[in-house]
Amino acid sequence: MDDTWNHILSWWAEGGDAAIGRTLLVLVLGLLVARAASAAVRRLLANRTSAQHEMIAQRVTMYGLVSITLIAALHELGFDLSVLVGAAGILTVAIGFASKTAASNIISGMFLMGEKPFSIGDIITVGATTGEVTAIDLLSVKIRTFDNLQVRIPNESLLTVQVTTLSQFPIRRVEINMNVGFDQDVAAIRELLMQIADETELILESPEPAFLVKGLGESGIELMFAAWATRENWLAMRTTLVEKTARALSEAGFELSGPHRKIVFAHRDDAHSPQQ
Amino acid sequence: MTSSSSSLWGNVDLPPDTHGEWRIGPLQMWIERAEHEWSLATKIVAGGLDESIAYARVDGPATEVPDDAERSRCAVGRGGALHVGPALADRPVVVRAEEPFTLLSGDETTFYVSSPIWLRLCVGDRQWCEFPSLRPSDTWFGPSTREGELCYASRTAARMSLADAPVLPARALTMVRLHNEDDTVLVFERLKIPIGYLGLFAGEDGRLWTHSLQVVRTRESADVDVDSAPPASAGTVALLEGQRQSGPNLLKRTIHALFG
Repeated sequence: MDDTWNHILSWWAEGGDAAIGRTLLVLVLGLLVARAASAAVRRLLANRTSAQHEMIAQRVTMYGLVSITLIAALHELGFDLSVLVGAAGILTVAIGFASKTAASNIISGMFLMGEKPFSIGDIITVGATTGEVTAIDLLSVKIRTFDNLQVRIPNESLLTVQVTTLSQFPIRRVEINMNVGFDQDVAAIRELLMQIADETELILESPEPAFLVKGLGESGIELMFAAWATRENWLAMRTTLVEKTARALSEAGFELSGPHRKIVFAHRDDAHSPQQ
Repeated sequence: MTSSSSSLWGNVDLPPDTHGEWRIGPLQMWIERAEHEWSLATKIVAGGLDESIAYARVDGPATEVPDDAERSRCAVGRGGALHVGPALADRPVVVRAEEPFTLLSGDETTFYVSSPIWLRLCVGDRQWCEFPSLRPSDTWFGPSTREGELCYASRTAARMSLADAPVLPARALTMVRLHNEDDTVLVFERLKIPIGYLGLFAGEDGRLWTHSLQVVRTRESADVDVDSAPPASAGTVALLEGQRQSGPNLLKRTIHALFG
């Protein structure tokens, strides 16, 4: 401890105060240049490339210039950089052990940037979270949910879970599943639903809507009606379609069938008499 | 009260505290003028093939506008005359044949397709708004659900004869001459009309026309040539609106970009 203190005092006596001044100058100028350069890169790439590429270029510029500034500052303070480079290997191993999760996230982030399953501005679903991607950072991806919350998802976990990109393709399908009683006229229901699709402007004429009889379920005939809309109109179309379908079926006298069970009580005198 | 379609378009004299009532095919429109404000209300009241035309200027506010009409207002400080004009759709229009249509090798045919018009309102030389006379259904035109283009679906079938095409105030007619130069038959159910490259004209009989299209199908492509005017059968026409999109006159497309 005394040796260190004596070393600092002797360094100060040999003009260390001037070195500190130069170091501060290098730091201030370097950081200002880094900030200005990253802003210039952002302006240069604005409207010329995707928001994601713009952010990556900006951050590479910023981190690169900050690193150079720090090395120059250490040099001004008299540190022998060759020793620093030699120690870097050992340091990397030490940091690697100490920050295994962070390193894993960084590497996962690089894979994500390479694979590009989504970009900034895309709507994605990860687990139970759906929202707009606002940032793809070194360690995590940030999502703004539709109720305006920011969710941070570590890059590492994004490589191992299912991610659904809702805004990848220009058109999407809405599917309505319903059960109707066994005695209902399926052909008439089909005609009714096709007429609704024909009258709803947000439903695409092509690809054509599809009506499927999926099977005979426990509580009735299982039907599915599927129609297409543009990505932007998907939610509005789904709301309109469900509303119109429910109203039209009701007005036409069709009854949707909910889950129900028929329970038969065995009875000594009348074992086959069903009671609902 | 007017019942001539040619008098529907142009500048409208509406002094403060008056309103105008229009009926353009399926669309009913009310525009009310206050001192520094215009109010617009629209409602679709009939089907796309409705032929009604009417315009009347009425003193006082528009009290008979239905509750379910769509409304908007525009503040106007500088004033200026109201201009009501037609325009063509802002996306391509896809026409569907009732049955698959076949054109034999080396043969040619002519047909007429109609597409709904948009209304464009301007105050002085400044645009106020633009909206369809009847909102057409959306449709997707492309080889897959990943590749293609969002278009409007024309609800009327193509006509092989001009006499079969009714004069409709809210639809514009496009003549398409199709020539199959390939040595195989051309079979298609849907045809995409690149409406953005066409201008809009008014005929003397009140019918709205667009530039005509010449489509020449070769082996794997189709050359689309936009004529300089509507067909001669349109008679004397006056240009109402220029093309929305500018570009080379001759458009070379793949077969799948035009026929579906």
